[in-house]
Amino acid sequence: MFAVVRVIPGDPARLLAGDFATEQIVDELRAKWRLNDPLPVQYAAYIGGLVRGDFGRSITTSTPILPELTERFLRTLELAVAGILVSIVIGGAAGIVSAVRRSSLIDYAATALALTGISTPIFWSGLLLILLFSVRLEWLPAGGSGTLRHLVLPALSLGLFGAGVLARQTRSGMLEVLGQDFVRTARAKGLPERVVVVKHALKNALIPVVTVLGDQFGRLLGGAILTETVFAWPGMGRYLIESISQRDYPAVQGAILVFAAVVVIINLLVDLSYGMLDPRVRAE
Amino acid sequence: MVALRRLARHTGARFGATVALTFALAALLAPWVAPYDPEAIALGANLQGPSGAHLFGTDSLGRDVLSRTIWGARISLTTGFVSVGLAMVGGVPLGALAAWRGGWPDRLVMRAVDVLLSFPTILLAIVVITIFGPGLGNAMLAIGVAQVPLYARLTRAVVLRVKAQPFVESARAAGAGEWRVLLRHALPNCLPPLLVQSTLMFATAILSAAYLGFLGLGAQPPTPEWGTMLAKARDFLRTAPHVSIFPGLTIMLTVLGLNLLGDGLRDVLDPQTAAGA
Amino acid sequence: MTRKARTMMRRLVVALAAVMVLVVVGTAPAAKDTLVIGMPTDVPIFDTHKATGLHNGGILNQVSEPLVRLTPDGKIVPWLVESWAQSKDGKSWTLTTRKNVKFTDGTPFNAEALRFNLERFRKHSIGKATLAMVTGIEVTGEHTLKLTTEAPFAPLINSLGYHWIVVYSPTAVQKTGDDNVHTAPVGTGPFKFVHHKRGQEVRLEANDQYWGGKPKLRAIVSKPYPDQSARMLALESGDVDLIFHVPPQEATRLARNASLLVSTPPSARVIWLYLNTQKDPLKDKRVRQALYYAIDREAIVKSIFAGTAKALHSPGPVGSYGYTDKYDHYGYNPDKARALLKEAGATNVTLTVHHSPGRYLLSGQVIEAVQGFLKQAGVTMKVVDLEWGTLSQMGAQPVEKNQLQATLFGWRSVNGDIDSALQDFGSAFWRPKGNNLSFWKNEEFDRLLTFEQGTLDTKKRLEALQRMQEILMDEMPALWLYGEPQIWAAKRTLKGVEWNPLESIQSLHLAHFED
Repeated sequence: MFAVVRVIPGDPARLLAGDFATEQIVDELRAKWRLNDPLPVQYAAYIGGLVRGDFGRSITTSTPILPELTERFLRTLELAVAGILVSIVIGGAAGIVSAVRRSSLIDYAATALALTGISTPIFWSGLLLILLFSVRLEWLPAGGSGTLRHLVLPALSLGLFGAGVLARQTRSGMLEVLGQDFVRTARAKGLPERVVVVKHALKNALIPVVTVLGDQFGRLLGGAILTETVFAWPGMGRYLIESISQRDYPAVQGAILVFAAVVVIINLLVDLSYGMLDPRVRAE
Repeated sequence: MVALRRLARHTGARFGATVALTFALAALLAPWVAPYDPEAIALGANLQGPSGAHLFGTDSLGRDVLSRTIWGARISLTTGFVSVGLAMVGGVPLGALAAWRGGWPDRLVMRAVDVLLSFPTILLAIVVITIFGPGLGNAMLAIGVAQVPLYARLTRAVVLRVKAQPFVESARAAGAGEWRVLLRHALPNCLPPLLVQSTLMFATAILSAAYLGFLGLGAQPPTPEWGTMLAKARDFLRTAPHVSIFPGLTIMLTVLGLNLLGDGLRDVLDPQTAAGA
Repeated sequence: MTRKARTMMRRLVVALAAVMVLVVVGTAPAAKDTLVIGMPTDVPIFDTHKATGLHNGGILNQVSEPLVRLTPDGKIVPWLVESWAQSKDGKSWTLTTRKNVKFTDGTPFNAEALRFNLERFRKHSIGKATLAMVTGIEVTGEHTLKLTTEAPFAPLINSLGYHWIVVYSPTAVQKTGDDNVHTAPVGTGPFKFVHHKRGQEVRLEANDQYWGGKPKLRAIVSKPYPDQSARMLALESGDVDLIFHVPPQEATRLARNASLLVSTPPSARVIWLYLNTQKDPLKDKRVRQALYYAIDREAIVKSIFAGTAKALHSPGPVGSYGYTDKYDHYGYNPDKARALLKEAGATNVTLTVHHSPGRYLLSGQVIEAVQGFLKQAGVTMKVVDLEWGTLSQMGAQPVEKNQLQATLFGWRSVNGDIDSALQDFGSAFWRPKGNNLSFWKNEEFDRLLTFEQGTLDTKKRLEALQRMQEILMDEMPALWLYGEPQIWAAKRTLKGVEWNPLESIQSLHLAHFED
């Protein structure tokens, strides 16, 4: 996995750097950003800068990218965490309930909802939420950020997809575990249902769920790009899109790099936690 | 075949297949089925709600939303096929070869695949678009490229499974050429999971194309791609919500249908993957 | 479900509901001495000399002030420049600066500071053509500045009123460096710059030492809301106090809201589609004329703008001095368009139009409509959306490097005289020297332009202006589409805000909230 960390910053940077020379249209800009230097030189300079913590300057604002990128990243993080919470709470609850009351009406309803969650385009769910809660009911703001109220709709819209996936995963995980011997033993011992479900079944069902969570976080970042656009949330996703439309290549590079880094880190964390959860389960 | 019969009984798959069929028919028969020219503007009749003349209403330029949605199906169908096709052409050989050769090429390829897989598809697609510029064609390319790792991994898993089977050893012992074994035995076994995967990937491709269109990086107006239509509809959420609702609903139903179909196929054709997923 | 499980579920639901209610009921609104404005675009860069041509100018100019101001009825009012006088031979002007004005860093505002800023404007600004005829700037006293022009230029003082000619503290500029003025801009205005968080907000705080009196507001916050529904919702829910670019259809609805006030001050902005006459197939004027026939301007005005815009029959704006509609013999005629294209041998024309979303009211819809109209005439139109700053830069390229084939741009007349619109098409004003994005050249036109700008004979001048319009209506270096309405909406309790025809707000030192 550590080889990976080296590969990732390389790929997007090199690809993008390779294209600047053909897409730039203004000579003075070229000279200013030293794009006439041979590619390897540019690349080396960029990597050197990165190590020092310098992400270069944005073409549009002529200010260093890093501070703004950090700020935007924190906002996206805020949104992503809220989204994950939504996914966990709604998806987890739905999955557990589904598994416990298998083949009941609730199960079918929850499964159907989960499927809908997966199939709904993120921006559409966002627009619908705006339509219902902002336009018709006027309970919540339709965009911008600043207060907790502003976070609700974007987080909901973002978390819906993950909730669907998580619901399905939790359900199948729980089902598998609930059918196992030790659960039956616990039940036979006369332990109350709640204890059985939470203490024994849930813990074991967690492993695949954690993996899914890790995957989902990556998805969530991608979804954040869309949610941020719909809700005018000042995060990194929107920064990326804005920079693309402004042809602000250093900014685009920076944003993609941060995305890449985050994804890699999350994966590492998931791998690590996998290792941690496993032996504990086996011991039980 | 037994499989088809079982499929027909699977409720989810039935619904999914119906949806998929409707979608495909609408797409193929668009020029004859759509009541209006999807790009003909009629400023005087803009933003009208659903009515007898316009079942889905009209958009901001007076274009018939129903016709645009039908033509949008055509675009989405094409996108699905092209992207999935590209992904397969790139991913299947990669995965098969990696599994077959084993050793360090395998590890290298799989590392790269794992890394790319951890990225959200949309991000990969955006990177490709940044390089080549926005547009429907580039969007198809971008989505195809973004899906290559998935096919690679899938193919590799299947080929590995086949490779481990005893008949392969005996075939090899009998002197059959490597390529022969690969082509005649390994690849046919890939077909069921590939079919399942492709159905699901088709859905993802349509969704991704809509995402790109919405962000302005995919199909450009006036092309009636569903995502692009939704991007323009945002401004009228209050005065004319129907312009946002219908295309979005269509995307959702199509993707849902395809997902259900894929799930059904998986249950029927490839229980192994279904259990392990 | 077992009782235990049911209780668990119920508790979970109640907890969730409680959290939701808390969140929805939410936080308290902003204090009544802070004005929150919702704008359609973010400020690209907080440096007026570099960030010209945007409606965010109103925000920028709370910090840096212009030399004179234009009132809603088109009159010039002294501001940082107290008085002005033209010499007898017409070739020089003497400006007297206002006394006892200080920058917020304590340094004094004087003629030297003015000179410094005029030079800076001429160096950086995309609108530098406004002062193209000025050949000399000389400080003749602590508070007097002498401007020399090539030839007598009657409307000079009007040109000086363009709100992008502003004054920054020279000391501050030298301190931050010319490149970084936007990080800490220092002006003479009623408000001081606090910060600009890109994509989020611009924050200003009151300058209690303001020469016009202490501002009643304590702070101003400007937030970008590119999505117009979100912008209006923000106003209706109370998140912002004032918004700009209200779509005409929504204006009626908002006007019915008792707590809001909708204003439609006269607007001097006109929207044109520049055609680069140096690029095929736009070299042939028949093609350009065909495009004009293909577009139904009246339908655009009626359906997209609900009648609040005015279709143009000449470069405009409608109602400016010298404007005449008698040379518009076009009208909506797609058949004629097709015929002309065929005659010019232009089949399968593809036109690429560059456009900046959010900059002009409903321009996205207009562009799409134009696309639809041109398709009827057999022309395929491709649209490229760019951010304003990027588009401005592309537009500023000289003719050999300029990649733009057609661009949707707006222009505005600051002096109520059609000259400022026509001047754009003189060949001396090809980009980047001026605003002639059509790179069009016509000798008779140039002669007339020089003549009318120099002459004091009003009758002859009017004739010249008319003939110039006649030429333009025949040559069609741009498609003159419509005059844009200017629609603001604000809380009724907000008082003391004045608008000017340049889609911006005047100085906000008198603005305040009434209970």
